[in-house]
Amino acid sequence: MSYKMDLHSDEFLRMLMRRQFSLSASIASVFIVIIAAVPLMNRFLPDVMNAEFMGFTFTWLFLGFLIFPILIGLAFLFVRRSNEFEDEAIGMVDPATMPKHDDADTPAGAPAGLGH
Amino acid sequence: MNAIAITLVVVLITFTIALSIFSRRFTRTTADFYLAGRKVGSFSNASAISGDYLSAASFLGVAGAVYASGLDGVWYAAGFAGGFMVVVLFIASALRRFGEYTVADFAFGRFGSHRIRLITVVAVLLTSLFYMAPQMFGAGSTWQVLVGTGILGMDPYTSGVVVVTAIMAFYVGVGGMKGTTLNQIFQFWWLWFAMFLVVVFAFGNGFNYPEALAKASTGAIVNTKALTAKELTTPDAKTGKTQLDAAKSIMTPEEFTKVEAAVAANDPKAKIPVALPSKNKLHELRTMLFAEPGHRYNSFDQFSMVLALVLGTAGLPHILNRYYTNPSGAAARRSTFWVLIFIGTFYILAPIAGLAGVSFIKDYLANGGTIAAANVHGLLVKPDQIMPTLGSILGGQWLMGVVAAGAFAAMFSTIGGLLIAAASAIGHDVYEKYVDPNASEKKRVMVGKLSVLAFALIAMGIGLGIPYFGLDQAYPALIAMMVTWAFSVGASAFVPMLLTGIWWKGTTERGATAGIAVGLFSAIAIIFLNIFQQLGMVGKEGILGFFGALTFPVLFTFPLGLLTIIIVSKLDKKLPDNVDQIWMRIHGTASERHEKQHGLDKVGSLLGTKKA
Repeated sequence: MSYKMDLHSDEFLRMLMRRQFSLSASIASVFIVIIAAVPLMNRFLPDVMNAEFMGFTFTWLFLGFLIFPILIGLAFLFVRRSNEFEDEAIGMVDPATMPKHDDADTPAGAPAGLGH
Repeated sequence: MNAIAITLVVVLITFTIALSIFSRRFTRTTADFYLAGRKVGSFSNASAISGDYLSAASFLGVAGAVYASGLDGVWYAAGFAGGFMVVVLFIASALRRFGEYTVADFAFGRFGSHRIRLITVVAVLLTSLFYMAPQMFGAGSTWQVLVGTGILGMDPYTSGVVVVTAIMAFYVGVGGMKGTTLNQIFQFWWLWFAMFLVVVFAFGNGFNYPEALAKASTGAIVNTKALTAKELTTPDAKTGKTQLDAAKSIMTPEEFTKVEAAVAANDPKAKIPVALPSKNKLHELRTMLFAEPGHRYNSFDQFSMVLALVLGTAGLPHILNRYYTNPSGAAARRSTFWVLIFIGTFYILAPIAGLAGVSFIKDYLANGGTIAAANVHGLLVKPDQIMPTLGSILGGQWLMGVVAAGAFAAMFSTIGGLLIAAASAIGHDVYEKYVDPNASEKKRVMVGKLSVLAFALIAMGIGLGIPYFGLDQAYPALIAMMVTWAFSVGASAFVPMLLTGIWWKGTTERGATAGIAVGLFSAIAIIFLNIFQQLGMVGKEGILGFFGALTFPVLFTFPLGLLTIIIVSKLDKKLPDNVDQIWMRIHGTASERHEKQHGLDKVGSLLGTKKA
């Protein structure tokens, strides 16, 4: 990217926040759809949810097993994508606006005694 | 109850105390005492968070709920795990990046007023007490089952509560967050393997998951209850039938003869265990099968319960505080990912154990086996006793001992986290800020330890008060009930403030303060209404009756708290002066970059490769 942003600019911050939020929000909406679909389907499609599937009822298989790999997968996706965002973001910053090593020790407004 | 089980529990406790004393040499500063020096790696921290999170309610309660209610018990497992999605997606890294020590620090830093710090402290203490109550009750009732006798002239329940309080106050006071973290890691893996072993033993004894489920679902679920003669013979106002009639329809003639004899004896205090038919709350006309929903919850309950568990996780101060022990925001996210793996596997195992209970205990009793736990019609009267009972049937005294120690490990790790959370609220947020800001480091740590002791004593009082007020009689599954209350209080008090504070710049100090207060007190008010209603002090009619009947207040109180924040903030419009700077710290990369430069974000990294 040729155009570099000021690290402390509003523009950079807004870009970063918007990307993180849209990532969080899109994964959250998948999660909400799944978690809301189960009670709804239990209510309105009991014959589908209680149909036998590999020896389980579908609703049992889902709540007792499938939901966990789905949650773990969503979390994995989120962690990886947001780490990538942060790495990319560093590349978008004009190096001249980055703090030197010394003042990086105390990011703007950081509390004293952060302990590392 | 048995020597090997008690020995294993004593070994666990001794090791726990030794670990605290060992960690003491590393606890010098308040950052050490409250935050384990902020140097906990992702994997260790994830183990500790999982230990913090999995309490007796998960270790004994989930299997017990599945045992008693089938699919509706599995809801707990899914809901508890789902809670971490909210944490990882919206809260974890921002909280860590911004925070100093506690949730109250976050509120103060974000909104800049003393009153919001203080109301947050109040909310932290109340939420922690709500969570402490079921742990204390669990300690007392586990002691009743495991040891069976009291010490120093106290009854067994009181002994359990007092002994657990004493051990906890001692080891948390001595070890601080470092000792507690080490202990939580150890305790978590103990309880994980205890659950794993029970399931392995079940499969080793010929358990087949789908077959057992199909077999458990061949007839309607049978409920068990221990009722007095009067409760059994009082006719229902609508149908004119008594519980005794209902029991007769389910129980075998021999079993029922015993019940009739007990009723005839007419001892007003004696509780007679009976088996009763179940109703399907979701689809009234469907038979209530084990593998289908409806035993506990109708649709409304399913939604409220999932909402309570999912939002509540993000509102538990002892879980949120653990995020500050991460070295960076990115590490906080990674920890949460590992937490999902750890507790996800645990929650896959717990329902299997519950189902295994159904298939093994009934056969065992039918073949002439005897168990210590009260049972009727081949079923346990108290479903929470399923884990130790199953342990002893499948693996004898040793497995039962491992399970019993696992139950104590679950309680200890949660109580430890709660004590640290409460102590940091009193010691760090109040004492160091308002009472004596110039106190020496040594004195601050001392205040932290005294806070641990004070909070432990209050919790002990509540634990002892539960049977005194008859709460254990009013609620059939009290541990699970009280845990969902704690989730509801946390979800209503903190989560609206955290979500808006992190993601909506327009949130004002007045808005957030009002939101915390409204969420906190409305949730507590509804819970107390529910308690008073169960104890018969409030009627079931009118508006009070309606709110009192809400088992999961969060469906109302969370939106109420959120709306309060939004409306008051819109009217108020007075943003903190340094809101841009604050925003930079929550969402900016200055600190992340700094972490990367120093490699701090990689402490304990176990997930993926990272570009430098």
